Amino acid sequence: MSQTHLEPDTVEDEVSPEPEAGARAEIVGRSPGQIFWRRFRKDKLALVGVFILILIAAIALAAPLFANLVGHPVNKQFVFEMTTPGGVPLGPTLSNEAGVFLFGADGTARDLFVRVIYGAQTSLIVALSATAIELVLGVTFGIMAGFYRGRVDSFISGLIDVFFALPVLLLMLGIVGACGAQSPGQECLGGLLQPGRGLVAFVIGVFGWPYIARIIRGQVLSLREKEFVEASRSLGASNMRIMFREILPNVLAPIIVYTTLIIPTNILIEASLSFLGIGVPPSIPSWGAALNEATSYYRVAWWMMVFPGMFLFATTLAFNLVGDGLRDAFDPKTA
Amino acid sequence: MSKTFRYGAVVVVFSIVAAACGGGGDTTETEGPAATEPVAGGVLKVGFDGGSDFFYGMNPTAEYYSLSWEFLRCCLARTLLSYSGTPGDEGGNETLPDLATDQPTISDDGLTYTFTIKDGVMFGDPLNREIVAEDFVTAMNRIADPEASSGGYWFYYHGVVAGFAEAYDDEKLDEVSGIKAVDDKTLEITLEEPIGAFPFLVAMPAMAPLPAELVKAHPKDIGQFLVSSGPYQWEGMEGLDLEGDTPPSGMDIGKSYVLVRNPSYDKATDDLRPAYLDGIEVQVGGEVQDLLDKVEKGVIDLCATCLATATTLQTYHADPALEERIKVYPGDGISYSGLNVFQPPMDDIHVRKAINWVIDRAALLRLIGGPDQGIITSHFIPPSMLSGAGEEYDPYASEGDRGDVAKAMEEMKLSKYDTDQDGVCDAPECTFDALTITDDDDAIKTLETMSSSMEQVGLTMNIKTLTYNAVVQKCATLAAHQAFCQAGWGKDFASAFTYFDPLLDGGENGSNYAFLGTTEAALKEAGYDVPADGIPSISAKIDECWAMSLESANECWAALDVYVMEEIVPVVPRRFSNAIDILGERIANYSFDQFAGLGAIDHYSLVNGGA
Repeated sequence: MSQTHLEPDTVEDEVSPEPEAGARAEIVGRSPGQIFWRRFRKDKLALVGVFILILIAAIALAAPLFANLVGHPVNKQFVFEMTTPGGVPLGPTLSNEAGVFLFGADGTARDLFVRVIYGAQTSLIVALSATAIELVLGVTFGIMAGFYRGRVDSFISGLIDVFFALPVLLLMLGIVGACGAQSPGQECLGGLLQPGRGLVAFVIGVFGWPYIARIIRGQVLSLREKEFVEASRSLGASNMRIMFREILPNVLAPIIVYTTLIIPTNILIEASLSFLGIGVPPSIPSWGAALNEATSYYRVAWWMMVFPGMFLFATTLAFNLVGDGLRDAFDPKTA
Repeated sequence: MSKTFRYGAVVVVFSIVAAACGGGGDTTETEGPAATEPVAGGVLKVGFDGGSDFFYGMNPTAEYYSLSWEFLRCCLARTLLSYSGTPGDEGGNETLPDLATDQPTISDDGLTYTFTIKDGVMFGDPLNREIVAEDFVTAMNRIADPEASSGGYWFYYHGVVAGFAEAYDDEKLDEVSGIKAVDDKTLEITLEEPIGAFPFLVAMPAMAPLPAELVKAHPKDIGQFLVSSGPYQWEGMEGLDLEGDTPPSGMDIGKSYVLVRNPSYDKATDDLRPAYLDGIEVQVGGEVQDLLDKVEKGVIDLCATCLATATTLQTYHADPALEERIKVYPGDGISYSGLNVFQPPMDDIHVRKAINWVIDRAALLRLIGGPDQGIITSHFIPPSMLSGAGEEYDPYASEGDRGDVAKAMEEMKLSKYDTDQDGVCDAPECTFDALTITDDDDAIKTLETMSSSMEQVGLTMNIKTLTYNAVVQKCATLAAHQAFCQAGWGKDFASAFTYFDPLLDGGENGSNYAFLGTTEAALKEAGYDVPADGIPSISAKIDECWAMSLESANECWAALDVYVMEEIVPVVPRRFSNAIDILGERIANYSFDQFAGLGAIDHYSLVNGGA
């Protein structure tokens, strides 16, 4: 049987909002989920964030539909329709001979609108995949370090310190660059790591887990002393069961909160790598790559910077708003 | 001539370096913004972008980029024969007497060249002594020193100058027997065999005189202490201890360079260099667009290494006052893609031809800035290298240069990789990798556009980006199995030899991405199947043309161009690239130096002498 330990001040019963006049206020029992939702829905900014994220996710999923609608495949070029004779891309237009270009053209004369919405796919896929890797590694190592303490904790904490000391961005640049163009017989991890979104997500995830591991470790160090852990142990539960069936559910709140906060970080890392030219391959749309290209045109093609930048900003802001809202809802002490 | 030892230089200049090595196009007038009589004086402020520099520390024996060549030609290292610092149509590709009193006397058998050295030509500070024939011998011996000339173009002399090959190949031998100081003013050079283009080799910066005392004191860092034979020298050379380790203040590798007038230089001995400026200040570092913006704002006078971007060209063309500050000249260079003729699917000539047919060259040119950037070509050798021969040659002509899909499909039907002969490549090999440089936006754009074109005949290109060095290393390595590489090239001197020889001969030579002329053993070792119809090679044809006089060689090279583009097809030529200079408002006089493919530093003057 699993048992969820809840801090007293986060599971308080609440008073019914409209008690009958003269009657003693009725105490209504609510589940933790209900309490969370009641708090979260009061956070208007967080709800706006959720709305933006749903919108962007929908746009990302529907990107092929949008591309079909405007008749501009993601890599289709319109060199003679959408550039000046000197090769400078043309801006947003509803009446070009090649159709509607809501966001204008990019530096390779492709429909920037289509590129941007496909870029949402790239950002979300890479960020979510990287975050998943970070969670698996970070939570596993964090729980083990906090639960076992002693040598295991020393080893994992030392490992975390080593990772913190690494020049992560430089290593990411090196690994993505080295694995980005492989020769036969020189594949990264025996060919497991192929250039593309997977490689970028893997590299971000592998270097990002120590942050979450350290947070989880701190939580577990406290939780392992609680009575419900003692109770489980006295009933003969194995360490694995205690760690992953008893303690893990009790650290879900910080995991969820932290997840929503590292996703935008990972989106920005992917954009940064692509901005530096070593993220996803050039044929895959990416907001970072689009912004990189825009730097060469910022004086004559404002749209190339504004639209990808707007989407990147909105997405990261939305994740942060949601993350803040979740944190407040899970833990009112920090609100 | 032995080919085995003639390579080693990696001088593949991608578009980022092609600013200095550009290639053909329309020309404009040579006068600067303020077309007045040049006034001497002032200091020219020059920027190099962060990816460019004198890569060999200004070692005159090894520097093999046109940026360095321009600074050596204009300012620091005069040669027996040199160039006038003018465009090609004003004789800029012709070798003229510089330190020599006249053109050399050539023996009847064409093997011995005798030069007479001018009186009164002096080395600058701190030596301030007369230049003598022995200083040229010192320079030649240094070229024959593999360590000193590593990365340079020693191979041009190997097997050409008598005794050079022996001196280069034998560690114990450090003197080239074919060069002799008859007396202080007479230099004699003997060749292994007559070479019509030999005067070009004499005009290369590596053959500039070097004082033995400098070579002895600084064999490894000679560039920092380079004693000038030209109108300028590094600031701080006056009173410098040549035996010491502290370089002059004006020479800070990778950061800044300051040139001041050479007090020992006698203008009366120099018919080639106006040398209007009092000095040149170079700052290294910064992004291309940022540096171009600084030129527009007058913070610097020019960026010597910056490719003009589409943005800058549009901005300047939109304003008549700015437009006259754009200088466009044919740069005697080519932008092309190298095809590894042994790697599937490029091992099939029909695939290679189909690519040449299907490419939309007009779109490629437009996307990187339009006509300013060069002229479209579907063959390999710029007509300027052939005195106009082959000017009309267009083996893969299409309407508007947009590509001919029908002809490409016809060609593809003949390929073994089109299994159902429908004109569309359908074998697994039809998907291949293409490499280019990470931060070269134009190269990436070019590949993406080529990829779009190739999809029409079923070819799928995976574009991968790496650093410049990594791209060169992979593309030049047979064992890397790289099918398709982006490349650019600028001439070394005005002969088609400097295209065919390094780019399409000698197998794995550092810049031959097609690997023509490789050996069966090398192929097997690298894991390739040896072609049943033999290994393609143009070695014999190159040797045949190279031995001819310059005039008669033109037709020979033109015929070889046709042979290469129709019988082997190891490249996809796109554009004879232009050199574009964007000038600051202070510049009053400008001349394009066809030799280096850059503005001639010694011809720049400033408005009112910079006052």
